[in-house]
Amino acid sequence: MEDFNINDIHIEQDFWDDFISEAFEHIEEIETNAMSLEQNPENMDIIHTMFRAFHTIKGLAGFVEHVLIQELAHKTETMMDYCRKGELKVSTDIVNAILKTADFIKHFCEDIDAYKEDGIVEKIKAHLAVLESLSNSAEENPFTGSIDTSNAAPETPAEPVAEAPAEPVAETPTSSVDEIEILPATEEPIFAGEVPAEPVAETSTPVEDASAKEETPEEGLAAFASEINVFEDAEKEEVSTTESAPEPEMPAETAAPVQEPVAETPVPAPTPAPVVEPVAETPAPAPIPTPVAEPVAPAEPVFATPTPAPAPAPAPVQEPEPVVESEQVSKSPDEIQRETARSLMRKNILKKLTANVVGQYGKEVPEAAQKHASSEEYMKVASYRIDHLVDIIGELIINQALIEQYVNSNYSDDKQLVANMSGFLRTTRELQNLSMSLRMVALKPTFQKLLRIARDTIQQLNKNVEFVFSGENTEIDRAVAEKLLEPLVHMIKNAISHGVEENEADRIAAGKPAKAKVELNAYSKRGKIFIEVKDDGRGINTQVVYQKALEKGMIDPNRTYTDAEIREFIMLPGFSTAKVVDNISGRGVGMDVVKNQIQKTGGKVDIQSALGVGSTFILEVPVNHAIMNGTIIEMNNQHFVVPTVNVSEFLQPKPDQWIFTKQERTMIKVRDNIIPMVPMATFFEDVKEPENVPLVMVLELDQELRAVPIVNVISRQEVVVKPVGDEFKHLKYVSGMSILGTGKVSLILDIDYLFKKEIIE
Amino acid sequence: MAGQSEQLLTFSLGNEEYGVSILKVKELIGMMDITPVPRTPQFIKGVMNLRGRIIPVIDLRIKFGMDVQEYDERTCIMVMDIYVQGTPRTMGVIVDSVSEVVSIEDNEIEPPPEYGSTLDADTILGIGKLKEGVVIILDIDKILMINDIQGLMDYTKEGSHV
Repeated sequence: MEDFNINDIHIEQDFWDDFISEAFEHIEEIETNAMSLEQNPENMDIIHTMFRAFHTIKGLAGFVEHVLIQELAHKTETMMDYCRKGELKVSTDIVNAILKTADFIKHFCEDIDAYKEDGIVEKIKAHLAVLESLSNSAEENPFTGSIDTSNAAPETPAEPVAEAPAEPVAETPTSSVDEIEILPATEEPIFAGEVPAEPVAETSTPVEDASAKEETPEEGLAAFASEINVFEDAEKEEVSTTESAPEPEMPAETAAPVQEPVAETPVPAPTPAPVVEPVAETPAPAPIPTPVAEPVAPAEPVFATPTPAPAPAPAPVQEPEPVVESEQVSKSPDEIQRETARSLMRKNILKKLTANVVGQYGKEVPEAAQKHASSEEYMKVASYRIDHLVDIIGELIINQALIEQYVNSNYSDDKQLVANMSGFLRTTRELQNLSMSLRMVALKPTFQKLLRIARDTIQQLNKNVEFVFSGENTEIDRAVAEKLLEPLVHMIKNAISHGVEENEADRIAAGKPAKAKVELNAYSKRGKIFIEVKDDGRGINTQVVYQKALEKGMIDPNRTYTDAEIREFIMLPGFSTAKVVDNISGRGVGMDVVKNQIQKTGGKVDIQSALGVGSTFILEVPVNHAIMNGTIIEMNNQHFVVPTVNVSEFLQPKPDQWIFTKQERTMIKVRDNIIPMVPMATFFEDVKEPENVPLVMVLELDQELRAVPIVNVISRQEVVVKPVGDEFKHLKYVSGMSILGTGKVSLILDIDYLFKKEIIE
Repeated sequence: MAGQSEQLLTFSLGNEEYGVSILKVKELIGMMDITPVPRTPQFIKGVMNLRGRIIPVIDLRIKFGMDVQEYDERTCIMVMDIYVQGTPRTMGVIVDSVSEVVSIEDNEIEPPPEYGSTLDADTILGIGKLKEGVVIILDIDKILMINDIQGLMDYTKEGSHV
């Protein structure tokens, strides 16, 4: 195991943000691809894409000098390389390893200081060992016998340098396979000749360029070289000599060792900027002729002129010391070069590098170019600006409504004005729709995260379950999408672990296919978004649920409940803690959390289930988080908004329905229910309980009811929810504010608070 | 420093003339529909819709303990960025009427008096001498900071000050 040192991590803050956004995209792509790879292990396109993604991350990590990420990406890339060459068959182990790498890198991206965590390095090392052993498993089944020999060779000189073994081993077969295909030369010399090219490749990436020069060798390197040339003039010649490397690579095995040690140096060096470094490294020895004279001198001609190379080569092989030396020496120019580079590169480098790395893999160039071009058409905009825009347009609509009203009532004879007015109306409506659409995002990223979770859950439980999703392009307000993830995670885990039968035998006995199916579907209907989590498992046993709820004293034993009502019990807080439920009815983990979260977005949860057939949990959420269906009521000459989902009914109470305590109405009897009244003092300071209550609003939350005396019901409408300013945060009864169609502000009552015990005590 | 001048927006509360730095005032609007927020101190008139933003509105008259007066067409809301615990908040401040913008030289400003005012001395930046009379220059950040916004923030039933 190589000896990377986290003390060498000096993250460049300047680059870090860029790195995160760039790396995140790649990691997400990798995750998605890893899972589709699991389904189609033979798909070379996916493997290639993933290989490139890891490669890019490795390069990027170099710029921020994050050794851990670099190593992770590097080792995974190496493993992918075997897959790419068909030497390693994609297995679940490999997919797991890839995902684990992705998790680690994600973790590092999320927390810049993550590398300081206790034990993290050990974890990484353990994972790297796994990656290595996977890579080695390919090596144990070499393509041809000759690979073994070529492996053996570089390994010896490599030893003094900590890192080496895994590397050359990893890369050598890679290139050799290509070589076999492309160059009709005999195997032996090719392997040998290949070895030199590969270390260069492995660090500075032109793996394919070097080996498969037929494709686009010069292009990639040239591009890369010109990139570097920007940074340091002195570099120019050196790099261009490297450029010519692909040609001379043929020279024969003698050439191999020469480059080996030179190339090796960057690897063991914990210095984390490989992309810049290796390029620098190779040429570096040249400008400093004195100490490194022996090994470097021969190296130079090898690069520069193909023919004379072979002869002087062998010498340095036996001398590992000069290698180390050359590394140390090369450091200083390297340092200088890096400084210069940094100041010049700044942000652009990340982009250029990405494009460049992709570009080096010849075949994909057009595709990559396309991708790059299309990304230019997107613009990142801070969400507060969009929110502001939406607000202002909302105000415009209100103003327009006022003008329109005025025109209609005072100037209805003026045909021209009326016509102009309606034209104006159309435009503002369109503008409003457009502004709302700016906040919309597809559910796809959310679904992809869920896919990962479903996969892991299935694997953990070792169940035979197929997880599919559809409707991932359904668009939803970003804020809502964010709030959906957690509930959906709960629901999917539940469906897989509890919904689906414990084992296949149970399913077969029930006459179902052995493989269970869990579906995640999204669609929009009636201006709402519906998200279903559907399983073909056991279904909810309402009798068991009822018994459990009864035992826990959560329900009224004298009442008869419908099956639908009983199913709702599983969303009662506290119900989920009943362990038996997991085994028998199969549901209930965290469903109260799900319900709460969904209600916070202004949505609701519906459960459909048939015993033995399966269950479907349906989330119904508003398209827009900021918009809620509100019922506007009047109390004490003031309008308030109540979330319509929580309004159970309105009733005109008869005198005999009231229950008094201490001469005050504290409860109301509605049919069989005794409902506590929410005292007026909850909202108003100086208002006495009203003498007569013309109307009562019954609120419902988690199977509980509360009555609020009101004066009038004004309307039911979609309202835009705004947060409560800090000035009013202490007011518990208000959960938000809203600007109604009239332009007037209304307070939204906090339902959770109204159901608190302290209020009716 | 002599020659330094400041732009003040002057406004009246009853017979008294006050001034605030023009830089603090974002805009002036006429009286608008204000939604009362129950269970808050009296001087907090409630919240209003400022082009899609919901901002709190305070009544300076009530804040200064003066008689409540009906709002009329001269009543004005000054929209200001007021610092509360270091962060600016946009708030509406209701005053009887807004008078004018005046330029006042530094040497025409007297230090605040030690007594004889309904206001805490440190909420007053100084007394400006104008041709027409004097103007009390307010430190609006202090006025709302001293105990009110904070009081407002942890306002409880028994704490109904003002």
